[in-house]
This record gives sequence, C-alpha cells and structure tokens, in this order.
Amino acid sequence: MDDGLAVRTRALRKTYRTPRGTRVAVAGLDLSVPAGGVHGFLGPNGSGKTTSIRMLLGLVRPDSGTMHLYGEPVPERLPHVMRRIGAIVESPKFFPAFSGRKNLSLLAEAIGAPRTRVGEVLELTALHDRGDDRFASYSLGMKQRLAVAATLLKSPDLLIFDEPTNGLDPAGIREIRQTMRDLGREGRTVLVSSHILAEVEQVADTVSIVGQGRLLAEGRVADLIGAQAAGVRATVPDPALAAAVLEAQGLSARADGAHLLVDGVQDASEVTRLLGGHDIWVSELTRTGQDLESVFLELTAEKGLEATGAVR
Amino acid sequence: MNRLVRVELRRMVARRATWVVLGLCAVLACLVVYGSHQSTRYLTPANRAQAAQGFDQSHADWVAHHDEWTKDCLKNAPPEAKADPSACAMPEPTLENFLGGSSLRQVVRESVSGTTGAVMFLAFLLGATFVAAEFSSGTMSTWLTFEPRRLRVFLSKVQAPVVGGVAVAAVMALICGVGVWWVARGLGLTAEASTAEQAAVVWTWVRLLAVGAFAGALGAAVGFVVRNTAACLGIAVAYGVVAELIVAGFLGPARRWLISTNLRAVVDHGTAYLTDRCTPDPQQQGILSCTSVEHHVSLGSGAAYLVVVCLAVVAISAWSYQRRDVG
Ligand SMILES: Nc1ncnc2c1ncn2[C@@H]1O[C@H](COP(=O)(O)OP(=O)(O)OP(=O)(O)O)[C@@H](O)[C@H]1O
Ligand SMILES: [Mg+2]
Repeated sequence: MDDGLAVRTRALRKTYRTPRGTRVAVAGLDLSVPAGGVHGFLGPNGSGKTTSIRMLLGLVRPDSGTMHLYGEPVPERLPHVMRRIGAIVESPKFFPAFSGRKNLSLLAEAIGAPRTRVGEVLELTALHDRGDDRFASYSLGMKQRLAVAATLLKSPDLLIFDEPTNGLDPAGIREIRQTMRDLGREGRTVLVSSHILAEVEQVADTVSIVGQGRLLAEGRVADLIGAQAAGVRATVPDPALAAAVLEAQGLSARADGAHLLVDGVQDASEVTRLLGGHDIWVSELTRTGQDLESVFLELTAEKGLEATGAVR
Repeated sequence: MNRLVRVELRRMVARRATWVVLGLCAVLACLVVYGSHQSTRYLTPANRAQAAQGFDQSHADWVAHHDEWTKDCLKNAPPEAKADPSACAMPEPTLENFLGGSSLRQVVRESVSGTTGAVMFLAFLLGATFVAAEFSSGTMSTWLTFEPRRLRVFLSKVQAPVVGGVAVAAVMALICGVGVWWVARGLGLTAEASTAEQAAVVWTWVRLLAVGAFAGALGAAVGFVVRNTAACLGIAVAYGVVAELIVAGFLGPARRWLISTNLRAVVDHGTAYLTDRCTPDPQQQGILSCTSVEHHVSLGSGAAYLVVVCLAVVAISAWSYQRRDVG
C-alpha cells in the first residue's frame, strides 16, 4: 500500500487494565500523517498521544485496529521499517551512569552503524564537548539533544517526537523547534505531539487534533485555526450594555466581568466603530489569541464529546 | 556470537554493578580460603606425624588382637546378640580416623559447599540487575526503537548474564581453587592425592562455572518478568526462606526438588539427603518407629533437573516479554 502517508492508523484502540477497572486510552484513532514536513499531533493531557506513539513503535500492543508506517503494516513489519524511524517517547531515556558517547555507541553497534557516526551526530547536536560526561549529569536540554542525536544515528525518514519541549527553557524550546523545522525542510517527516497549540502552530505544516483517544480534526494548521474565527476583548464602562449593542448588530458578544468579549470578528476596528457610534468608548482592546482550549472546546462541542482533563 | 550479544557484553563490562559483584565474589573467595586455612591449621606436619604414629600403634594392636577381642565380645554378649555377626565386628582402624577428614577431596569439598551458594546468589543478582535496570531507567523502550525484534533482544540480554555468571564463578573458582590448593599443599595433602583425585578436584571447580551460567540466566529471566532489582532480590530471599528452610525443615522428601540439593549434586558429583521413614512399631501399639533413609541424587539427575528448571523459567519469561507492554 502506498498512499503517500508516512503514518496511517485506522480504528486504533487500546484499553489499559488498572486496579480500578479498564481505561480507554485510544478509542478508534484514525491518524494520517503525510510524508514530508512537520505534522503536529495535538491533544490535551491524557488524550492518548503517547499511547498511540507507543503502539506505532511496537512498545504497546493495540486491542484492535490497523497501523501502517510507509505502507508497511506494523507491528508485523516493524523490524523492516524501524531503520527508517527515529523516536523519542516522553522523556529521553538512556543509561544514567554511562556517558552520552557510550550510550550512543551501544545503540550504533546494535544497528550496525559505523562508530564514526557517533562523533558526527554528537557534533550535529552540539554535544561533542560534553559527550564523555555521564548522562545523569546532563541538563534536560542536553538530554533532549542526546535523544535527537540517537535518532539521527539511523538517518531516519520519519522522526517521532513526543512532547519534545517539555521542561525546556525558552532557549531550549527554540533550539528544538528549529531542529524540527530543519528536519522537515530536509524532506523528512516529523511527527510532533504536543498539548500546546502555539507550539504546533509555530512548527507544523499539518496537524491532527485528538481528544479522548479520537481524531477530532485534521488538516493544514492555517486552515484549522483560521476556521475557528478569532475574537477580541474590550474594556468598556458598561460591558452588558455594549454587548447588547453589538448583539443588535448581529455580532456574537457577551460580558465577561469588567470586559466585553466578541467572537468571530476578523477586523477589530469594526468593534470600536460600532461602539463609538453608540457613544461607548473603548479604553483597551486586545485580540484574544486562538488557544487550544477554545479550539478544543469548540471541536468537542461539535463532535458532541465532553471535554475532559486539564487543557493547558 | 551475534552483534546484539556483543553489545550486551560491552554494556555488562561497562556497568559498575558488574564490577561490584565480581569484587564481592573475590572478597568471599578470599574468606573461604582463609576459613579453609583456619580449619585445617591443626594439620601441621608435626600433628600429622603424631596422628600417624597413633594410627600405627593402634593398627598394630588391631592386627595382633582383633580375633581375641571379637571372641571376648561374643562371650560376654547377651544371647540374642550372638545371632548377629556384626555386633562384635572389630573394624580395622584407618589413618583417616586419626586425621579427622583431611584428604584433599575433603578440604576442597568443604570450601566448595560454601562457595556454591555465593556463586548462585551473586550470578543471579548480576543477571537480575542487568535486565531490571533497563526497565527502571526506561532504556528498554529506547532499545526497542532500535531493535524491535523482542525475541532477539531477549536472547541477547539473557546470554550476556550467562557469560557474566560464568565470570563470577570463574573468579570464585580461581581464587578458591588456587587458595585451597595452596593450603592443601602446605599440609602435604596434594602430594599424597592420586592423579584421579586431583583431576576430580579440578572438575569440581569447572562444574561451579556451570552453576554460574545457570544462575546468570535465571536472574536475567526473572528480571524480565518482575522488571525491578529489589523485587528480584525479594524473590531470591523469599525462595531461600520459604523453599529452602521450610521444605528442608518440614517436608523432607520434597528436598529432592530443592535447587540447593541439585546444585550440591552437580558441584559435589552427587549428593545425598536424609529423610525419616516411620512405621508403626509391631511390638508397641501406637508408637511409631522411625529410621533415617538416605536418598542419593546423582550428578546427572541434578544437572538435568537444573537444566529443566532453567529452560522453563527462561521460556515463561520470554513468552511474557513478547506479550507485555514496555512502558
Ligand atoms: N501504563 C498505563 N496504565 C494505565 N493507564 C495508562 C497507562 N498509560 C497511559 N494510561 C492512560 O491512558 C490515557 C492516555 O494516556 P497518554 O499518556 O497516551 O496521553 P497523552 O495524550 O500522551 O497525555 P500527555 O499530554 O499528558 O502526555 C490516560 O488516561 C492515561 O492515564
Ligand atoms: Mg504523553
């Protein structure tokens, strides 16, 4: 099967048995990741992103459903396609007492990569002068870079990063985002999971939004976010009165404490013009950023699902 | 040897835990040698000469008088004892009686029984931490994203501890073997031992290597199932208490199936254990009369039993590793 997809799952399902009964982690996920470019895998905490990635990598056994990587059914053909895939699941995991170089050289030997490749990838990830320090002594950012270095040992076509910016400082975040963009630009496919919309927005070309283990929406990032029309927040003397005025003009507005919230306006000047016409003067006006929370709430409302879990 | 096994061996050599275990092993071996030196210290040439003198005298007495002694004994014995010819047998004294267990074989056997348990435990520990550490550090999942064929991964991670277990046993065998030999030679025991006896002693140490391999594989297999070093140790200790102590104490015949019994059979070239056989006394109602019965376990059957146990545990562990999620 060659459908131009790097990753394809259909009706993928996984339940965990816990002492308090079974918990559905992935509930019939249909994920399609086109080959080439950066693809965001967006969903709130506990929506089944990590579980799905684990299943793709053969670490966790699905209850049902199908998975394909580059058209090869997995996990059956995983030994065959694994050389094309690099993955970091959750946090970077290496032997803490071994140096970064030792960790990489063991992995390189396991896949039969030349020893010289270890030096190269350490150089690529700017770890060469800390390569001989123990992994346990690395900062989180360095651990993350070592994990990237490990994936590059194989020169993979598909890179899977699960929440790669977790716990990193702004400089670290920018660095890893740049790495992902560069990899995508080189023609590789990067699948990056995240619960932060802004992150996906900044690096991804396409996105799949999941909630409660299901696909809620997919497509180009710009389209998906544009579709959820933006709003404005205004500070006015009497928000209730102002809301009534705008409602009368056919806009969707409501009072929110001391503020006025207006949804679905492309041009903020329209709000000031309409309110000014009624002698209501705006002292402050901000565009409300389209965050995952609102996108997600709208999507779940559309799908008739209840949003659960904390959405950050 | 395939690539994965080589990688695992490299990792084993690089691990600090490996060297800690080998170090412990060396310390224990030195203690065993010291113990064997202490317990045979009285066997100085002077003491041996004295013992030999005592033996010569008593043997000469026996040659001259044992017929006479037997006759005297029979004359004074109660009538019912006269029917039993062994009742008044006068056994010929041996030099051993005077030296108190001092052949090369015996000195070695005493030191070996102390080391077998230690080799078993340390090699098990080595295998168990080798595998369990991978689960607790999470590197098992990293590893599987490089080599997803779980059976291969499993086999390589069991084979390396087998080699490690042999190394543990080799350190023990080498230090103990050389040390005990040196102690025995100081006492002049090696000179009087026959070549066959010397060879038997060397083979004892070689069989200890097999114990190391067995324990290494067992430790790794258990590590794959419980995925935690402390839990592996818990299992080892629980087995030691429940099986070895309780079975040995209360369920005599089940001793045939204890790991320790079979280990002894392998290392000591056959072993024996005693059970009580009790039957109602025909003369006195309601009274049981018991006799101790000796059961022999041969080297072959002990080895076969251990191989079966090892294969069964490894097979169950491999099956569970194939099926379970790696977190
Ligand atoms: N090993 C496990 N045993 C039991 N339940 C689990 C296990 N792993 C995950 N879960 C449950 O499955 C659900 C999905 O978890 P998962 O880690 O896949 O979510 P996620 O989308 O990666 O979340 P996050 O953004 O917090 O990383 C959660 O409800 C979680 O509690
Ligand atoms: Mg996750």
